[in-house]
Parts: sequence; C-alpha cells; structure tokens
Amino acid sequence: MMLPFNLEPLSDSRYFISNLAGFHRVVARETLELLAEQGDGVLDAGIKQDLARGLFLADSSAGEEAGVAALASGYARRLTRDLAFRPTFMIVPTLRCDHTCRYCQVSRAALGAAHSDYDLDARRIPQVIDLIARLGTAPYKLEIQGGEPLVRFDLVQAIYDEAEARLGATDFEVVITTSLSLLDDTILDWARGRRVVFSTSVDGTEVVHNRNRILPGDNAYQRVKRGIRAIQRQLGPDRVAAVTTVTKDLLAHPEALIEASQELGLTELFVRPVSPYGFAQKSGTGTYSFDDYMAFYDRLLSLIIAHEAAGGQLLSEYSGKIHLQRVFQPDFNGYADLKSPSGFLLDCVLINYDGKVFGSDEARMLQRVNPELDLSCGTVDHFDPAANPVYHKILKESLNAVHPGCEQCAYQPFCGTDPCQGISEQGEPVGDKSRSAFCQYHKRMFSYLIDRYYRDPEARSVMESWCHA
Amino acid sequence: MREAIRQDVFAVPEANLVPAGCWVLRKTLPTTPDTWLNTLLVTGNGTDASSSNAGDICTIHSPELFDSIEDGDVGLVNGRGSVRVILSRRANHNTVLVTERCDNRCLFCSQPPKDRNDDELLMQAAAAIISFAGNDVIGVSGGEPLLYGDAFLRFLEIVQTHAPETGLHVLSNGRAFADRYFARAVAERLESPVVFGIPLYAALAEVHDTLVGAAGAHADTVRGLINAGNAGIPIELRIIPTQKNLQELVPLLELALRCFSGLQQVSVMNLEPTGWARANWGQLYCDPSLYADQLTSMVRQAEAAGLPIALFNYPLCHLPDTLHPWAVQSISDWKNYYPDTCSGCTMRPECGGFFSSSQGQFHQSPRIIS
Amino acid sequence: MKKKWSLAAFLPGFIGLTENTQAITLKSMAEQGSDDTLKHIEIAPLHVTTPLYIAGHRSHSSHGSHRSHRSSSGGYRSYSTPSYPSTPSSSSSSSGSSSSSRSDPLGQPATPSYTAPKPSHKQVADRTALIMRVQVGLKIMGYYTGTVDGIMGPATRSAIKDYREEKGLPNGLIDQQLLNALGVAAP
Repeated sequence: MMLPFNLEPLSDSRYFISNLAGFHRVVARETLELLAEQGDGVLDAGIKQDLARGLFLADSSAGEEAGVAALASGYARRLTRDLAFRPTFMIVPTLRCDHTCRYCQVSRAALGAAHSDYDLDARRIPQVIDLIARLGTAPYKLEIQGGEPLVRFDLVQAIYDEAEARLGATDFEVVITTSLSLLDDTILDWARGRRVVFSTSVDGTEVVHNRNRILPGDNAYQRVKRGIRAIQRQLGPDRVAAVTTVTKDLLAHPEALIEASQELGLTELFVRPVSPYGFAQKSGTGTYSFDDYMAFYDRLLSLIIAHEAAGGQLLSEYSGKIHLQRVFQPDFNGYADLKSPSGFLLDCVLINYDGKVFGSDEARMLQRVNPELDLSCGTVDHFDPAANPVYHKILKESLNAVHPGCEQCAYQPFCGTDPCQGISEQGEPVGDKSRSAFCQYHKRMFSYLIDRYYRDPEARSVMESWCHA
Repeated sequence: MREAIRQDVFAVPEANLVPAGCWVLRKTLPTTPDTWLNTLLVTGNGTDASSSNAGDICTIHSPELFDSIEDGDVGLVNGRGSVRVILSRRANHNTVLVTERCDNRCLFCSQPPKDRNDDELLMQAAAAIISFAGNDVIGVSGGEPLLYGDAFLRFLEIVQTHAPETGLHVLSNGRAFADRYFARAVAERLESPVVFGIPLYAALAEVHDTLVGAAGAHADTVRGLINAGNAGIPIELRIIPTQKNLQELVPLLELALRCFSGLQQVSVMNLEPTGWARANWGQLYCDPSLYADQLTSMVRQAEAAGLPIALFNYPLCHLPDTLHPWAVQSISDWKNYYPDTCSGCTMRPECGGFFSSSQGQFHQSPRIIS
Repeated sequence: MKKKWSLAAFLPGFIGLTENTQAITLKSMAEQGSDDTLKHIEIAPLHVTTPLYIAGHRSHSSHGSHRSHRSSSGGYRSYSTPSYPSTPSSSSSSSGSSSSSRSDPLGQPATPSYTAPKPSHKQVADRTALIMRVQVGLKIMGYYTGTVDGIMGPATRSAIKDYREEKGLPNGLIDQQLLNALGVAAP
C-alpha cells in the first residue's frame, strides 16, 4: 500500500518523488502510473523494495502504521531542527561605502555623509555584544556588514575586542563582509592572530566586475584581487571567500567566472541571481529571466566538470552544494533560505548602525525602501520581537508545508520560505508561489541539479565531491 | 573456546559446597556484612590464616581466584565447583543477564532464549548491581529485558536509587517501546546515565523479520525506536551486516538519520560465531570486503550528520584503510583475540582483532594490509 | 544562567524553545495543516545530553554460561540450608551445608518482646538485610511500594501475603519458598 508522497516531473519522463521525512527517489512515469492505477502489487519486486525502503510503500497494515510513524517522526525532526534558534549576529558598523555599485543590495550612504547619521555609535558596542551574549550560545558567529565596514575599521576592532572580553576568547568567529578596497597592512596585521575571515564579492573578470562594482577614481577588480591575494598569502587560503552576483553582463560568459577564480586562486564559487531587494530591484539593472539564469548555471556546471576533467583543480559551487545537501544529507539546514520555518530571526539577528535590530539582512533592506513600515524587532537596548505584530505574522506563516503551492511540491521538504522576499514582491509573506521569484529560483535549482545528478555520471561525481569535501 | 584475555571462570572444587547464587567476593574479612549479597571470603597463598577464620561466613581457598579479583567483586557460584566473576572491578565492562526469555528468535542469537519463567534473575541482577556499587556502566542483557514490563521500570528505580553512581547499558530489541506510554515511563525513570542498545537490521520489514525470526518485529522496533527517541531515551543503534541485509545497510542508516531521535551512536558489528550464528554461519556470514562500499557510505552519511559511528569486531586487515579510523577495539574482554599470525603486525595495538570464539570454519584469516 | 528569549510566543503550540528546551508539541501546526498524520506528532527534546561511554560495546554472549548452575537443580538447592543462625551462638559452617535451622526469626513480630533474649548486632544486621532484600524483590515484582528500610511493617507483611497468594505459596512470612521465588539469598 502507498504512503503519502509528492511528485515533480524531471526531464525524459522521469519523476522526482519525495515524502515528509525527506526521502526521495527518481522513478519512471510508468511506475507511477502503474502504482496509481493498479497498486503496488504489479510493480517489479526490486522497485517495490526500493520504494518501501524510502517509506513510499508499506507491505502490511503493521508496516503502514510504522511507516506513518516514521514519516511523522522524520517530519518532526526536520521541524525541530529548523526551529532551533542559532542565529548569526550581523552588525552594521556603518552604512557608508566607498563604492557606488549599480545594483547595490544593501542601500548605502556616501563616504562623505555625516558619521552621526550613518555610523554606529561606538558607545553602543558593549550593549551590542551584551545582546549577543544574552541571545546566543557559543560558538557565536558574528558577521560585520555594511556599507563598507572597513570604512570604520576602528569600530570593527572595538567590536572584536568587546566580543573577546565578553564572549570568551575562542568562543566566537567574525566574518567581515567587505569589498577589500580598503584592506591594508594594518588590517592584515590585526587580523593575523584573530578569529577573522573575509567575505568579498567577485562578479566575474575585470571588465564585468568593474561594470557592476564602481569605485570612483579606482579599479575595483584590481583592488579586490590585490586584497584576496594578500589575505591568501599572509593569513592563509581559508581566510577569504568570494560571492558572485550574476548580472546580465555575466550571463553570457560563465567562463569568465572560471577564469577569475583561477586568477584569484579561489576554489569555491558562490553564484546567486541578482537579489530582488532594495535598490537592486528598483534600479532594474539586473533583470533577466530564470530561464536565462539556469542556462548560465548549466553552462557553468559543464565548465566546472570540463575544467576538472582537463586536470584542473576541482571547483565547487556553493549554491548548488547547499541545494544538494538539503536533499541528500539528513539534518543539513545550514542555509537560512532553505529552511522551514524560515531562517528569519531564527538564523539571524541583525544589529543596524542606528541601533535597530532586524530578523534578517533582507528585513533591513525592506525597511530602507519602506520607511513607513516598522520591520524591526526593537533596538539594542530593548530587543522585543513580540512587540511587533509583523514578526508574529512572519514567523507563524513561514512553514512551507502549509503554503498553497508548496503543499504538494516534491521539493518542499528540502526548500524553505523567504517571507521578506514575499513582502517585497507581493506585499505579504506567503504570496502566490506561481509569481514568486524565490520559488522559481529554488525549484529550478533543485530540479536542475537532481535531474543532472541522476542523468550525468560525470556531473554526479563532481556534485558528490562538493558535498563530501 | 580459546582463552579470553581476562579469565572469568575459576574451577574451585570446594565451591560445590557453597550455595549457588551471587556472592560478594572479599579478600579480607569485611567489618560490616554486605546488605544485598552474602559474602564469600576468598583466600590465597599469602592469606593470613587468621583472616580465613571467618565464623559463619563462607570461605573458599583459591589462589588463582584470589589474584584475579578485587574486594567487592561479585561472583556467581554454580554449585558444581566453579565461580564466575560476573562483576569485576578489573574488567573493561561488566554485564548481568536478567532473563533468558525473548520475543525474537534471531538467526545469530548469541544467547539462545528459553521460555521458562526466570523472574528471580531480575532480583539477583538488582542485588548484584547494588552490592557492586561501581561507578562505571553495567550492561543489562537477556533475552529481552523489556519483557518484564513494569517490573523492569521498578528494577530501574531500585538500581538507580541504591546504586546512583552506576550507569546502565540495556540491550533490548526495543519492541516494548512500540507502546509509547511504556517508552515514556522508562524515560521518566532515567536518572543515572542509561543507554539502550537496540538493533535494527534492515529498512525493509521482511528482511529484518527474517533475520530476527519474528513476524511484525520490524514494525514494533521501528515504532519503538521512534517512541524511545522522542521520549528522550538515549539509544545506541546496533547493526550486524550479514548476507541477508547487505542491500539494507545504507537505506537503514538513512532511515535512522531521518526518522530516529535520541541516537547517541551507530554501532556496526561483525558477526560473532557464537550461539545460533554457528549453525547459520554459511547463510549469514559475509566477508567485509563485499560490503566495504556500504560501510564507507554509512560512515560518510553518519559523519555528515554528526552522529558517531563505530565498526566493532573488525580485524583492520579485513577493512580498507579508509575505514580504519572508525574501526574500534571492543571493550569486552573476551573479544580482541589475535592469532599467532598477528604477532608481527604493527597495527595490532589498534586492531579490533578476532573473536576468541573464532576457530575452524568460523575463522577468517588475517591478511596483509596493503 | 542567563535568561533566554523564548520562541514560544511566536509559534503557538510550540512550547519552550528556551534554554531548557523540552518536549514540543505540534498540535497547533497539525490543526493548521490538513494532514491527519500530523495530529499526533511528538518531537524529541532538542538537547538530550548523553554520556559518550557507549563508545564501546558488548554483546549478549558476555556471560554465555551465566545460568548453567540452574540447569538441573530446579531451584536454589543450596539455599535450603540458610546460613543465618538459629540461635545467636550457633553458626552455619563456612560451607553453608550443615546448618539445618528451621526457625523463622523473621516470622516473629517486628518489635521483640522485652522478655526475649537480646539479639546480637549481627543478628539484627542480618535480619535488616534480609527484609531489605525481600522488600526489593517484592518491589520489583510490583507487590510493595514502600521504602526499602529493612523494617517488617504492615505494608511489607501485606505485600508478602499478596505475593504468596499470587504464587500459590502457603501462608507465612519470610521462608525459604518465598526467598527462592524472589531469588533472594538469606544472609
């Protein structure tokens, strides 16, 4: 007898099926038709056993009872895990930035803007760390965001010192999200003996990168290249990682990314489509279809495979990796977007330069473009998510298992929700999934990766290396 | 049987005059008698004659036994001239057997069950554990200990009340936990550290039921594992690879990782040629090289999920190098036997070795580690 | 202990994702969802702390011949010669095989009459130990719910009576039949 499962078509008449506990199989269309029309009795014994092992079929009423209990328990495990409050604490020391990027995701303030308007008051830092100590548990993850945080390196240092004193010398790690344009020997020397890693952006080769990342009077790509090299050389290769925002200029040139990674000595790519948030959306520079994006991704993956086959070092791609890990690795929930309930607030507490606290980076971006709303969960002095009804609504409605459109999706157990994106696009957190960029992007990624994994042995072996590295 | 590393049975002719049962073994005359067990004074060669003048306390003379025990160890006298040291302060691990009844009939059962009422064993076990009052873990095995139902709950209460420093490791087929109220009742009584070692041999019901010789066992154990984990009972999941469940190993681990809570460790154990396993050896035993890929995949999956996994009773030379870090030595004294061929092997200090019960047709030879 | 902010406020029905995270019920979620299978989900505690001592393992066969002493005796043959003395001065031999006491000191009232000879310390200790062992046996078997104190009080007497009736033993208090049935050795 059948146990409940969802299904989605892949290419060449195969289907991806999955159940609540997160088991999946890829089966032929005719198997599903036989099952639906004549029941499991007519299935090939091997197929039947394979489906029974994944809790898609049960062989007896006792087996059905145990199967349902196992499905429910598996589902409960996923929820429990995703519910855990283990946030990354993001701190925005300044909104000012030396770049004037075309698609800035964050919104920024001019370098010359008044400090008092866009910088964190240094006297607040003890309160910031105190809030983190109260909310979190070791090991704490701190992420310094911007603007360009190195514009106020003094605040970055002060935050680190306070964290060291208050959280315990080895109980935290700091990620600095920076363009690296301001990286100098002072900063490198400071970072050397400290628990600091740098996260930067590389949008392709020099031409593409500089078209997006505008550094008045200078060359942004040369700056980031010099910075990455310096960190690799002086601090070690694992102290810097790069993210790529795929703009229209890069779409036709995935090879540019491979070249750039070679030139910069990076072995992990992390590509994402342009975010629909903040000013990036308003400026309209990044508009392209998801078909275009997936065509880009397909070519990129083929290039990675070819690069490795030609004896090059294996390049991994982080977005693909996390989608695959969600499917193949029980218990993996290390990515805030792919969680249900969503990672909003559970995975992130963002402390803004003005002392306001948000449940995600996206929430502060939304706040920037919707000044009439209050999307904060209080301030550093008074953190109180319960006081804002928006937080109730977002958290309560962030379970995809009960979202129309997700309810019957076979990728649902591995996917998540992004309530802020829903609000941004459609004015409310759940939204119409058929018009949701979040849904389109993630569903396509899942479907593309799984299809290729089960169809292309070379791709499969590369994907497995990503996951097991 | 080859000689085990630690001898635990001692022939003492005069012990046939000692009433059978559990005794607390003493090397010197205790100042206060033990509340829970009667005292058996053991004398050795160097024993002062006056100390053996113990009035109404039973005394036996055995230099061999004397040298093998510590004061307060627990011995089982069989009434036919031998003493078995069942709880030893020198042993790596001690186990008490609480029943020989069982609702499974595993094809490889090492302790073939009997159907008669043996309730008194539970009381004896409680008395032995309390008297021993160790601060290590004592194994509780059967048979199926949970067949006692509520009596087992009271056993837990009493042992934990009177031997609060002693942890327990209970070997159970977990079927009784299919009753979630029972699972909760056990969970509520766990004060000192108690772990349940529960075997599941397949994701597919038919395969598990065949191996354990009981229809419906898989459904019970799966529900039992779920209920026990959800109730907060710490569980060690035990898997024995055989010819019949090789295809099950990887799906079984996925089932465990996705659906079971409370797992503390997965233990994969090489088949031991003892009990019924000897009779069924030909249709069960599988050379580890035939499922090294499955073991690798299991280790990878478990590690990725942060669940400790260990391979027991595998001679290192029977596993690929890549699995050596997960192969561990058994803590049981009667395992870890090394044939002569192993004497020159540099890996021996880390090797799980062979079972002391392995010989003749049941023995797999050591191999060259390439 | 630092105070933790609780998620419970946001997800009605999810109880306590606080520092002492405990059982969580998914009732409200099940009500929100349409699937019947979710109605009775239980969730494991998030942080079950467990010792790592199970890193080793053992098997059933650890004491393979554990019970061989019982294979033919049909009971605790040797216990038929209890080692507790019938009078304060006499003692069973060290082999425990010669004493043939028929007395049942435990059948006497718990509070001895002042005219009775004063029992020795050893006798008192043995008597207390025996009652405690019997109490534990009765407790495990579910007949006694009081404390294990070595005192032959009304609850213990009543438990012994119930147990004897249940097992078809003749009326009495603590005797060899009772001890054999419970697996208790007399001191």
